[in-house]
Amino acid sequence: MSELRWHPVLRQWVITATQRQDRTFLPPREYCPLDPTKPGGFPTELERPSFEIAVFENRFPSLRREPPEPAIEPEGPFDVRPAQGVCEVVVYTPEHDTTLAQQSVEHIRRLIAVWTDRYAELGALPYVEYVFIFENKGEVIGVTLHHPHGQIYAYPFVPPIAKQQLDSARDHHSETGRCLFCELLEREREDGRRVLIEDENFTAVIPFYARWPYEVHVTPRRHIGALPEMTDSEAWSLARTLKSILVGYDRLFGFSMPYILAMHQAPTDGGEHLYAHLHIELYPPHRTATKLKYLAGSETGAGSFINDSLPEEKAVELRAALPQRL
Amino acid sequence: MDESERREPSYIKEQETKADGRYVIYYTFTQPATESSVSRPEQAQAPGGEQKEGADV
Repeated sequence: MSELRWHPVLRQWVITATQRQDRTFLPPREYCPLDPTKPGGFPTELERPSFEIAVFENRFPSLRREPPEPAIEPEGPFDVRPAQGVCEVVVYTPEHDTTLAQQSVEHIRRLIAVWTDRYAELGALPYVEYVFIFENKGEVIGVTLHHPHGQIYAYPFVPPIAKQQLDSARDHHSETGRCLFCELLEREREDGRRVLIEDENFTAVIPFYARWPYEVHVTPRRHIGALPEMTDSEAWSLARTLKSILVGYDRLFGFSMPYILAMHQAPTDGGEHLYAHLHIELYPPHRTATKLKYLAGSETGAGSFINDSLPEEKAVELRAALPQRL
Repeated sequence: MDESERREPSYIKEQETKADGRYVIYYTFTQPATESSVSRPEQAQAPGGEQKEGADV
């Protein structure tokens, strides 16, 4: 059973998806459902003996192309809708014991091509208003399968954080005539203290307003709303920049860093979102090698983040961990 | 590497339907992706930042 329930206080949809309680949880290595199916072996999600990159519909989706009717009738402030949308799993590689950071720049470039295709195809569906590409990495993030993979949620609404970002960008654009993200990037580059790495197309920074100690934002220098607007040259830059940051994360504490990767792009709701600016946000939960930052009372209860560190100092640390060569 | 050596990855996209009706899409790249002539990202310089031993990765 899955349905959208309206939260009238926060004014956002909550996806109620009870079937996800039954999803595969940290299976033994030999029963990974994201491995290629071995001849004579148990059937995985991917029935071919090998592949490069594969995408499939999540077996335990929060959103479905043809959702069931809600199990409850809407009443007064308690609005409910079918949970229509798409949930995809993107399997980065057939290899189980690897990570996105360990993929070649060339392979990450291929993954960007797949992400671009999925954004365009899912965004063209009439009921999809926002295509959200993300990766959860590491058990501390809540990952249930270790095989390197990401996910895509094609929502029938613009999700709250994306909406808040877009509202800010729209207001800034109407007040100043400028793109908020272009201006923030310009200011970060002028200051320089929080800039980690850049080329002529992309810049990675720990932003001035970072909420997590090692939060990184990867932003194109050109005003680009979504992946399909990128040139080939920009896509290569993104692949290299992303790899640099992910390798830097792994070198920072000497272990494979858990993180959330969240990609923000223009909605696909048919509107004109000239102020939307593609960017990737990365949130590792570690504040030291052995300590995690938890979203506790202030963050979860009040929505107010407390960052125990200075972005300027964390940028020095992370910059020192970045690889000199890829 | 000059401009002519740029290679945007091109791929064959094959979609199959599983027994339960879900789709799976296999992306097979038809030519090796080759890095473009875009310069490699440079690390920003900031006071106090020491580079760890560089390693090819």
